[in-house]
Amino acid sequence: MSAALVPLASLSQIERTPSGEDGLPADLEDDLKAFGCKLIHQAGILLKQKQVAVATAQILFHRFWFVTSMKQFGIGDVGMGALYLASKLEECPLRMRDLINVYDLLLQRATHTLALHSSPNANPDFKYAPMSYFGTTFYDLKDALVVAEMQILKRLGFNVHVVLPYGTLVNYLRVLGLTSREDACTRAWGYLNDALQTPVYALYAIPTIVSAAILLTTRHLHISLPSTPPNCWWDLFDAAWEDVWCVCGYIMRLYRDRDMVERVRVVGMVGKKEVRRWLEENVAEQ
Amino acid sequence: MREHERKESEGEVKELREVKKRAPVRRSRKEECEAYGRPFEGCGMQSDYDVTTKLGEGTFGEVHKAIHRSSRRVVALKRILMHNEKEGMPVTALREIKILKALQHPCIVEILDMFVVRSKHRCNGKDSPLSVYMVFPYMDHDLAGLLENERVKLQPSHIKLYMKQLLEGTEYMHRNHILHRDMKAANLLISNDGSLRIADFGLARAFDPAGGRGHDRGKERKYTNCVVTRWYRPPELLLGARQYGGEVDIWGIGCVLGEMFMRRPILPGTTDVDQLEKIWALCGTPNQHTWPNYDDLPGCEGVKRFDTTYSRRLRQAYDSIGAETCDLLDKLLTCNPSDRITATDALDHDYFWTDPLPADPKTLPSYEASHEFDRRGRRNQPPAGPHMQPDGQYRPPQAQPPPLYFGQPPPHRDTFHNGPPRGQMQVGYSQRPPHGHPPFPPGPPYGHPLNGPYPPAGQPPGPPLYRQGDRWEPPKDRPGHLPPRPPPPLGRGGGGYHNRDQRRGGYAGGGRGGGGLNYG
Repeated sequence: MSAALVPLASLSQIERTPSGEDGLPADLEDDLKAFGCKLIHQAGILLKQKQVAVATAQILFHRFWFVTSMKQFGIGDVGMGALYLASKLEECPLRMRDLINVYDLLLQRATHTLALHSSPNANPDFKYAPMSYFGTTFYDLKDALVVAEMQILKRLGFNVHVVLPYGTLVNYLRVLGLTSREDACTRAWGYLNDALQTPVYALYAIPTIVSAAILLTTRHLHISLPSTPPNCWWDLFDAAWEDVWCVCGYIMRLYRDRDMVERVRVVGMVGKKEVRRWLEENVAEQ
Repeated sequence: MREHERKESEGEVKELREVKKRAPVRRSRKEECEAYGRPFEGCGMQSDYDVTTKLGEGTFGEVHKAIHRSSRRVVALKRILMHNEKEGMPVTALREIKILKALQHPCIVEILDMFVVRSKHRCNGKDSPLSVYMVFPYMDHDLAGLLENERVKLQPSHIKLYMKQLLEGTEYMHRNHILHRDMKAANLLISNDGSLRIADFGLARAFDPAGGRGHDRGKERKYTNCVVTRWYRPPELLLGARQYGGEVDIWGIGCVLGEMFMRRPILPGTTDVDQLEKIWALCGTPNQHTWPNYDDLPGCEGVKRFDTTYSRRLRQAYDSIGAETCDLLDKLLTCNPSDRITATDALDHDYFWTDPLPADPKTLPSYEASHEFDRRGRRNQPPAGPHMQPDGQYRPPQAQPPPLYFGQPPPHRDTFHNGPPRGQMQVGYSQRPPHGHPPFPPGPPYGHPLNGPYPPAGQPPGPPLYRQGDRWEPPKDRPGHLPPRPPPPLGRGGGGYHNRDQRRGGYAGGGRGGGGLNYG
């Protein structure tokens, strides 16, 4: 059963993403995906959810954007739906109320960050204002959550089987004799977690992604492994160099320095309405 | 002989060495796409299918027969009703879909497609219910319907063929750490080319193969024991066991094997306690010797001690079905779960390697489609107005004398089917409608090996032992000595079956609505 292949994006799906077709630039799309994944991750930590469910949610989240445009669904709603769905799939269901409360907090914090940048005089301390008892916030978020969950299922054809990379990493580190280097293990594990913010889990098979994490680790820590053809260590794991290198690129691009404008831009585009407004302002004129 | 073997093994070693030297696989981009390319695809559409007839109906929704428009393939559409849409997609349905998509085996039903429909016709202004449909290949029969059809004569070799497939499917399932948890004749689909497929994974779930017997005791996962239709439920579940594994499915397979020879369920208990009584009567009351520490289990509805001590008489009762068959049945219906045979061992049992060997599927006769629903659909046509009570319950005609069947009227299969009130977990491929159950029959004897005469040995097992038409009609008055009628089938959210699996760090059902999802 674990041999069952997970679905991956086809070349045409990669070349022409639905959001890209709607005019969203590729770098902005990637940044928005990464921000959506950070929200999922933060919510997971606040809810004390298992990492298995959080990682599954992030992978489902990435798959979704290969079949849907960000003009139609916001990264906040879809992230919330993905976490809710993944928690059910991994047999650790979340209470809707808890999830919605946590997302409300995260969204308020995002709004606060924005306010801070637009007017420097604003109070720098963030204070969470609980939802009002008679307000509609809860019900709006709840509706969005249920819709997002169903849309993820429907648009992915209920193919929600996800393979996580961690077990494979342990095996590979053993094969390569790196288990005694604790720093290498930790670092590779960290790269796999950070890679969850990039779409690579929807693009490449697990062995390729794990090889990329190991490659980055060994380069950073100056650990030498056989790397001259025909004796390349990644060949052991059926990974092609070009693919491994490409995954490395995706991961390293996460760490690229972003200026304040870029950072704030992403925070302000959590919902589909903001994405639409941005598209109207920036794309329609061209 | 030896030399020959050695040569062979040398050949293997050589091959292995060659494999080691082989260059890494370099696939071209196109080949890679063929090997890995499974792009993201959405669901199908309702408009892809032409719905023809209804196959089944129940509390869960219904099953329709349909034709896929472009491929002309005949399919069965199973509808998952969103009973509690507020909570989103039910976990049980998610499990079923995930498991079915992951399992790929010729003896397990395959899921072809899914589609989601927001029903428009019943729109009361605002929220119209959402329905999710699962698409399966159409199969002509289910085993329960087939056994009920008098025209169907199952030879021992046919039974062996079905058993082989049933065990192969189960072995595959258990090897992949999946429990079916609703093994019964009605959930086994059979096509006219002799292939059997296990269906209805509505109660299935993954299980921990260490099963609590392993290293870290105290941290074992607990599952609900409110699974498996009562007549197929193993004694440990009836006694309240919360930690179990593949053995629970094996018991059900034993019941199905017996049923294929008897043509009716072999352990039709009326209540959980009665079910245990029937099991003890056939398999012997357990003691510390046959089942160590069985009395550590919580017990069945407070009953832990059983006054009458039966001795095991399964082999005598099923003597006539053949020595190997009887031995396999004996091993499948072993009360102590840790002594019960596994699917892997069962496939290696002499039963499958002695005459008559499993039939060649090509030699099977083909029968008209028999789904339980088709048959009950015909049966439940009210013959005349007066018999149809205002509550929609079918009552037998008044003046008809009770038909004879070894002196007692045989029960109709439907009457067995109240089973355990599984509540919201009822999602089945061939389910009974919520209404129209005939009243429970006047209990035993059923011509059952335990409490009634058994057809003389030598007579081919199987074909109908009663011949008074399609319909069993109970006598008008229910004698006082008979067991009470079983409770009516409960709909979703019914009666106290909300035990959920106890999960680590999960919510013990805190604020979740009572009758809604079952996370068990």
